Amino acid sequence: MMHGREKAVRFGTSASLVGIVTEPAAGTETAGKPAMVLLNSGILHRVGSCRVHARIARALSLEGYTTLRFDFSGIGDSDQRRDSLPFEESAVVETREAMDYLGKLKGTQRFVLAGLCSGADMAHETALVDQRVVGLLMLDAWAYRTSQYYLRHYGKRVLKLQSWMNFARRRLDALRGRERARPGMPTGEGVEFEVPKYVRVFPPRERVERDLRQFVDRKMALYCLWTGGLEDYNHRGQYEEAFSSVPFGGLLREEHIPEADHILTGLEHQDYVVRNTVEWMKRLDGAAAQVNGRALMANAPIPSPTPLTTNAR
Amino acid sequence: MNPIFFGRAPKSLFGVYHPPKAAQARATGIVLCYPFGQEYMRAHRAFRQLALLLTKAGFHVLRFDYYGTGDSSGEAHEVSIAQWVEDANAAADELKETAEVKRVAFVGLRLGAMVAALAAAGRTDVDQVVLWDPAVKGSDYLAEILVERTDSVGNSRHTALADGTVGVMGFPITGALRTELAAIDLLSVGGPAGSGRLVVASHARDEYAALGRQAPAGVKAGYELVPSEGNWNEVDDYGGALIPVFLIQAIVAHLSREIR
Repeated sequence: MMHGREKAVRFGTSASLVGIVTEPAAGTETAGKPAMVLLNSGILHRVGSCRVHARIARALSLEGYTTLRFDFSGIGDSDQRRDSLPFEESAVVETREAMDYLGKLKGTQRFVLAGLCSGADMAHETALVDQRVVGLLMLDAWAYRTSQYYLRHYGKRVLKLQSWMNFARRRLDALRGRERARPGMPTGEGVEFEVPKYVRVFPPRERVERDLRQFVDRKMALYCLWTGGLEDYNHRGQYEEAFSSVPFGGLLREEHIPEADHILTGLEHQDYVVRNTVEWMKRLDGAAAQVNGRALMANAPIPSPTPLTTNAR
Repeated sequence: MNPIFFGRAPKSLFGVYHPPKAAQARATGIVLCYPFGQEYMRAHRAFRQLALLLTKAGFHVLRFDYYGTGDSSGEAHEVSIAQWVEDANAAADELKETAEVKRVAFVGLRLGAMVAALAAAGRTDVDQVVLWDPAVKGSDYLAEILVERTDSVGNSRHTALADGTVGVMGFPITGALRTELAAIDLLSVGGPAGSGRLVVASHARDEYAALGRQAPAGVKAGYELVPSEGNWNEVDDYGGALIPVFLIQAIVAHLSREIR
């Protein structure tokens, strides 16, 4: 089946923002479904890392969903803003403008925000200030180390001589005030290497805990998936442990693909994310259609991650 | 700047049309041909900069995503060079119609240079072709991008699938595409008579110089080395972009000089 029609759109007040709306495929559209807005990861333009946003949008369109993937100001094809708002603020403003735009276009007032890394951060921040957000899909979201994290982290390393030597060298460098070069940060004449200007600092755990309580009170559904590329996360269940006082009920789906890298270069990992995003949205949609007052997904069993199909397409 | 879809479904293509920003618009439109895979992600910003500078020099510009890439329709495993050449031709025709220009020029980077050269060779309305760090021989290009890569935790960035498809840093290359690529050698591709062709290189490589020295019949060929650090065939965990400023300026200067 052919995915829904796509059109290039421009919206935004302080900057002309460029996005692609993917309409539901022919014959799949039904009223009341939430729409998804996909946010940039770092400075990767709206197609998403390894084009995964375009694939998510098209896969969702086959199930009757509308999506908008767009570029924040100064990223991809979108213009710079005329004001001087810092990224952390402008990204929230622009994500809300994206929802306003889709709201006018499709009449929807319920949105799921999705993003990887900085995209996940901005999805979280926007959800805090906008009640239209009913779900978050966050890849490599802020993570907090727990006792289980340390057990696994040091359990593996404690017997390795190299780990001790690295640790000693880092301590020595720190004592001497030396900064260790960040691997992969290029320099050179005649070339600009543009890297994300957004400096990712995880907010204090207590603040995120308060946010999550608000999300749970609002019955927002969260699908949080970590790759093996985020140092602060090393096992499935760590998010729930880190926020053990938050009564997630069935609202949180937490997964870990340790073999995947941060930018999802594994084809099987891309397939996994696309497939499971659609499956999660369908479940969220079904539950959210219930009369208010009922727990959104409390009765819906959260499945184990589908086995990765390395050899199948 | 005008983002558009053009071409017919189910093969509609996404493009961005940039109208000229100079007092005097030029009569030749320029089509920009992206590279492949992570190189496309890494070059997107540079192409936008190149397009903006070209509009300031009075050119109409269209940059577009090939079928199976970016925002265009199609799946990544459906791509072929023949399809991409067809897409580059469709983009040139679209630009001629949109901007009401009669002539075109192509600028292509890496695999996009191969596509640009092949598309231009079959046309009679081409003024200039700029081959930027071109993939000269398909077999060499394949050998280069298939070199094993690992991420920051040591896992391979390549994926091998049972049907012979190889995922290269997140983008599939099918067996059919490898076969097609292996048979292409730009040294045996002619150019449209009366056009100009510039090979512009960021690094001194024998194949760039060889292609630059070679002049197909009726083609005014040139070669320019603009030393620039950085490698297209890399990827990092933060999705950094590469913008070789001097090299971009050299392309704009060349086209401004050679085209009225």
